Amino acid sequence: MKILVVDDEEDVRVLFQQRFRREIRAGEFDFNFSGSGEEALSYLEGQDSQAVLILSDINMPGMSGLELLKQIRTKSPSAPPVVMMITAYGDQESHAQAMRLGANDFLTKPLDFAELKQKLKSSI
Amino acid sequence: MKHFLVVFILLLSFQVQGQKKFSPLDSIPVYGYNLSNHWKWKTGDNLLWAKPDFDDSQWERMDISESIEEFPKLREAEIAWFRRPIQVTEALVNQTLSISVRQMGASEIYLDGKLVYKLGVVSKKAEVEKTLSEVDALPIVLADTNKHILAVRYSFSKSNFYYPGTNSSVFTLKIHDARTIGQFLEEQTNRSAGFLYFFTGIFLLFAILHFSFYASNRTRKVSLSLGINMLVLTLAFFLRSIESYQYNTSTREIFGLLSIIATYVGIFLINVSLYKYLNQKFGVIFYILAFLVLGGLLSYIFNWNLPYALDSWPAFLLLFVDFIRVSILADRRRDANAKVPIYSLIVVAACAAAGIIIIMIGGSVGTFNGGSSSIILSVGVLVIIIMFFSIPIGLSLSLVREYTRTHQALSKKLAEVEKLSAENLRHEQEKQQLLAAQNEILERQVSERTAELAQSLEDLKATQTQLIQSEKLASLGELTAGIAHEIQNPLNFVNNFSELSRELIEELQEERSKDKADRDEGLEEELLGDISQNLEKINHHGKRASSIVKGMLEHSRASSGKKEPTDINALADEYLRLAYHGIRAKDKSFNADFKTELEPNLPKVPVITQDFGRVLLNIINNAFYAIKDKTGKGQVIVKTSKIDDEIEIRISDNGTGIPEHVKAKIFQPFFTTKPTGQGTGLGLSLAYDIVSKGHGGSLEVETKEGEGTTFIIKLPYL
Repeated sequence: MKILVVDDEEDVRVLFQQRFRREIRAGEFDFNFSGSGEEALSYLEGQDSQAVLILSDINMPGMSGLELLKQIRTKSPSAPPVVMMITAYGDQESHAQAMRLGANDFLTKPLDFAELKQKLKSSI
Repeated sequence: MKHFLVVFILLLSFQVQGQKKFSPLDSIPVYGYNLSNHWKWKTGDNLLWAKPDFDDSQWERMDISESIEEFPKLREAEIAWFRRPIQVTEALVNQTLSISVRQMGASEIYLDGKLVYKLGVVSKKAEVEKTLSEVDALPIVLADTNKHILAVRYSFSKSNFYYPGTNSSVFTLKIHDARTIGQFLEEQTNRSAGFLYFFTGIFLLFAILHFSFYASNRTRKVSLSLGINMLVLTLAFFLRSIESYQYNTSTREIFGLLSIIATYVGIFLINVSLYKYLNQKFGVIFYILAFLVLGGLLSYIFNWNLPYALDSWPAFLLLFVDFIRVSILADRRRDANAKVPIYSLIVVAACAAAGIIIIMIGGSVGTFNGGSSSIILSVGVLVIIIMFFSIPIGLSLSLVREYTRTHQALSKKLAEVEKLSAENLRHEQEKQQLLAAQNEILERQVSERTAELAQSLEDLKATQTQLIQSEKLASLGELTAGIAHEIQNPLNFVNNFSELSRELIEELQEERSKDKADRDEGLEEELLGDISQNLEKINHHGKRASSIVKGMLEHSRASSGKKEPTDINALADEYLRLAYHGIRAKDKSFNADFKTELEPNLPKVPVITQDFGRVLLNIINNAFYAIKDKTGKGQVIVKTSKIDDEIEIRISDNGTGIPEHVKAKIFQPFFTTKPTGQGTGLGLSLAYDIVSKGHGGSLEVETKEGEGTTFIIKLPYL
């Protein structure tokens, strides 16, 4: 399963690679990383529906995670992937906005990787 | 009866008495016996005419005490003889009698054909003739009671001067008792000289007084007029008194004439003075009176006689009437001085009445030949004199009174002025005291207020310090959320990587606990590598968090004031992030684009990091605030560049821009566009101070409403 992680923090890549070491090794998950919303969109255009699950941070310079979600939900209706929003600010308003824009899930930092693993596996 | 004044003077000198029938002298009164009648005369010169037995029955009778003007024949002949019998009774036989003579010309007196006395030098020839007008106390004795003949050889040459109106007699002979003549002459001289000098003195005094008044106040012409008036009257009396010492007839006549003129002029000048005194204009009446008085004078001098003596009295009567008229006119004009001449006129009337009564009494007592009648006559004359001069003297006294009044008024005024000035001074002093007191109060109030103001200033300074501190705290508050977020990320990494590392170590231990044959050396190496990498990550993120905390501490700490060379790019980037996250932390929906365009070769600039960081934070915060309503389309760009010896930091937004009227105020303390309680209004003000005063740089703003704003910081780096 192809999973696109969108976060402006570079070390997220290393973190995910290690956290999902076994799953990556087992070939369950295939992680790809984008540093910003724009990067993610261009990636999605290239891959086209290859990615089935997107994990995106909300707070990013430039295009925010919510903007990205909105773009995905409005511009690529053909292949609606699972989009999970991640934010450091677990406020009600962001949550509601994300859900309204069509997010599948809403996760707060710090991430509980065991729970994330469960959610990822269950959404396959 | 030519003139009142002269008449009365004459009355004093010669008491006329009439005797109808010749009779021997029985007794001689104290004032003498006048031998003015029973004379016969003839012009020409013949010494035989002195003889007692000469028959003079053909001679003309005459009253030789008349004026020479009455004897044109004598005047023509220039020389003549007078004859008269003289006889005494038993009582006067061998008694020494005294003869007094008043005459115009020169004479020789013969008794019974024998020359007894020569009075002057008798001659028709002017150069020979010597007139002698007055001789007293020539002794003569009659030895029996027979009739004797008194003959007078008399000359009056044409060269002698006299004026036609003169009152001088041709020849007057008076007989006195030799024992009493001395006393009589003394009394008579005393009386006439005393009278003349008394008035001379009086009028001279008044003249001096009025001239003095005039000298002290030239504007009062009445003083000059009265002065002249008094001087002329002085002259009138003085000339009259001099006249009586003249023994030469011509000289005597000249003085007499001058005195008469002075008297007329003087009396007329009274009228002039009155006009002046009562501010009456010289009108037709005045000039008519002047003419009448002049006419009176001329008729006096030239002896023009009109019926009822109309040549003399009407002018003076009219003068009195005019006094009354002018006084009444002045009174109608409510002239304060109008009363004075009226009072004088009352005195005149009273004196006139008194004079008439006295003269009537005198008439009833006798024919002016008793001692008592002499006294009555003197009193009458005095009263009439008072009547005449009450007007000028009244005017004078009135003037004096007026001056006195003026003087008193002035004294009163002076006293008032002194009193007023004293009061004024007192008021002034009171005012001064009041001023001093008020000044004191004012100064005390000023010092109190100053103290209050100083206190207020202290309070303000304290408040300002507090405000600055609260501004710092506010900006710290703004930072806190951003910092928390900033710290959250590295802490998450630290936690994750440390957890991962523990798992990796467990896995490694698990691998190690296996038999040597089963152990995967490659995996072990990989795990160790990962652990090592993780530790590095932990370290990195730990340091990252630590540096954020350090920055936060630096920001909140009071300024150390020490400049250190600083990488402005790093500082700008850090605060851009902090600001963004700070806003994000407060407003979850906020989203905006931000980017840096940094000059890579930017030199390090000496700045007080926490101060300058605050400047950047403030301006960037404002930039984000300006784009908060642009829902994601807003952008903040921080751009650095190097221009000459300065570096330039441009913080741009594409927000609302600043209206022109606001732009002028944005650097003022306490100015804010934010809702109450959300901004201190000190941010940009402090930023301005920090850049300009603290770093010698400049802070400017470029803005266009609706398009955006750019703050430009320029800092010298050398």
